[in-house]
Amino acid sequence: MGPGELDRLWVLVSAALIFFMQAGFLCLEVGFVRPKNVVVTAMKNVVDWTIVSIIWMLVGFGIAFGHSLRGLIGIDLFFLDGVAAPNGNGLGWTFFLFQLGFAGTSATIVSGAMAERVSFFTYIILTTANALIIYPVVSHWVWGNSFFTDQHSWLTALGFHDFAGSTAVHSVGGWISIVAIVMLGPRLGRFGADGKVRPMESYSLPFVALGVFILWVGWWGFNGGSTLRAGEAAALVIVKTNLAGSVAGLVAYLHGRWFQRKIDLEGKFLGGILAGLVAITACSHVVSLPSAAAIGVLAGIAHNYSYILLMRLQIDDPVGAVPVHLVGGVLGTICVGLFGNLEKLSVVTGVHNTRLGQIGAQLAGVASVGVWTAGLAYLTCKILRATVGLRTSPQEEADGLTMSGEPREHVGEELDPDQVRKLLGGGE
Amino acid sequence: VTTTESKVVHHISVKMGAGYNLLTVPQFMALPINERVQLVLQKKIQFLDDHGTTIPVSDGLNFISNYKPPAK
Repeated sequence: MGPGELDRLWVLVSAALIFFMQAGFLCLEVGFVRPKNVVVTAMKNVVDWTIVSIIWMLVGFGIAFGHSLRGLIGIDLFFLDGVAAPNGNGLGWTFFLFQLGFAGTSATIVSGAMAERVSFFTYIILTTANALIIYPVVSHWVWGNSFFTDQHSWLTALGFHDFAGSTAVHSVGGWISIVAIVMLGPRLGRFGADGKVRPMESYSLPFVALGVFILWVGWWGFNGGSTLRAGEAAALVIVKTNLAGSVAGLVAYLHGRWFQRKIDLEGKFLGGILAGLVAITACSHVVSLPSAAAIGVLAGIAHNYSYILLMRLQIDDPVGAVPVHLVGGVLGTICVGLFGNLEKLSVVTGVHNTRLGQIGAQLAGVASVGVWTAGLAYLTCKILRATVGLRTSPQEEADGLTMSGEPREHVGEELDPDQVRKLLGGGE
Repeated sequence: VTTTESKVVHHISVKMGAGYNLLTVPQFMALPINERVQLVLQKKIQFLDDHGTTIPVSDGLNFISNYKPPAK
């Protein structure tokens, strides 16, 4: 039976809640960065939505949800042709808007990780690459049978399951983030010569907390809306989502307090909540309430260890995007195999897997999406680094970033070429 | 340009097109010698200490000339 008007309304409300998550990301990121960078950080959050909105309409939705070419990529629904109901799953424009929110979420995750040193132009190009090819292809692999329900992508044919995007949305943003920030380098002054982390001022932690609350309510639409039907099933999904986020936040706080010398407790508490929400996203309709709580425990602990690991590796992630979205996303996807009800999974996926088979399918999804996303992000960053540069100037970074990216010019010294050659070659 | 008393180079900022890249000292030293020389002569290089403060180019070059890669 196709969707009724109430279902359509619920999914439309969910789409609005997901769009509102953009405001949550904005508050979170603005709250975490230094006061001198709040304006440009906010602008980056707005610009990625504008880019994704246009690209999604032109080609993104088609690549993600069009008729499948060998299970790899969608080949129609471009320029909105064929999107309207009663085509496909019957949700038409409602489904288009709902999925636009997911695409926008995947893009905006990256802005926080690269904050305070990436140039505005570089960020726009990277966002475009994500919106144009990286995210839509992953979306097709994971949800290619969501609009045209009589087809399979290569991943769905294995029984891989990612209910609302732990992998498709969050780990895509997380993979791009980790590749980008390794290639970008840290904020100047973040790590001392001895490798020690130097604390950097945050604009407003209450703003971060507000961002978490906005994201949290957005998640009600993110996961609850992914049932694509109004009713008790959606409400139960939201209950489990709420539970996992709450447990993960408390566990991250207590773990940070008892086992990590009380370092960055605010960041760990708030980041832990988000990691729990990310992790439950893949499995919220195929796990029990106790399992949702267990997933929250695992997410809180995994968040804290990855948070510390990044610092030890001197990888600078100003908002903790990688522990939340990459680690939470990978964990949640694997948890489908570990905790998911196999009977429910076989009904949802149409594939009868054993427990081991389901875990294998989940690992295949995590690995393939990781290779695809990290590979393309690396290629994009490599090209950008060799052509337009990834960062702002040290002067702009010291003064605070701007949208125009026109820093004070650095005036170098006049030097004797022979002397320079001698000095630079002297160590060889 | 803000400069510093420190003469220990931690990072090197390299102008590239309209933007910049940040290299560690080993990454900079891995560039071919001619490319390094050209970058310096074209004033595309800023040597930075561990606070991100600019070190005068002559001091930075002196540091680099005495730089020994860490033993593997």
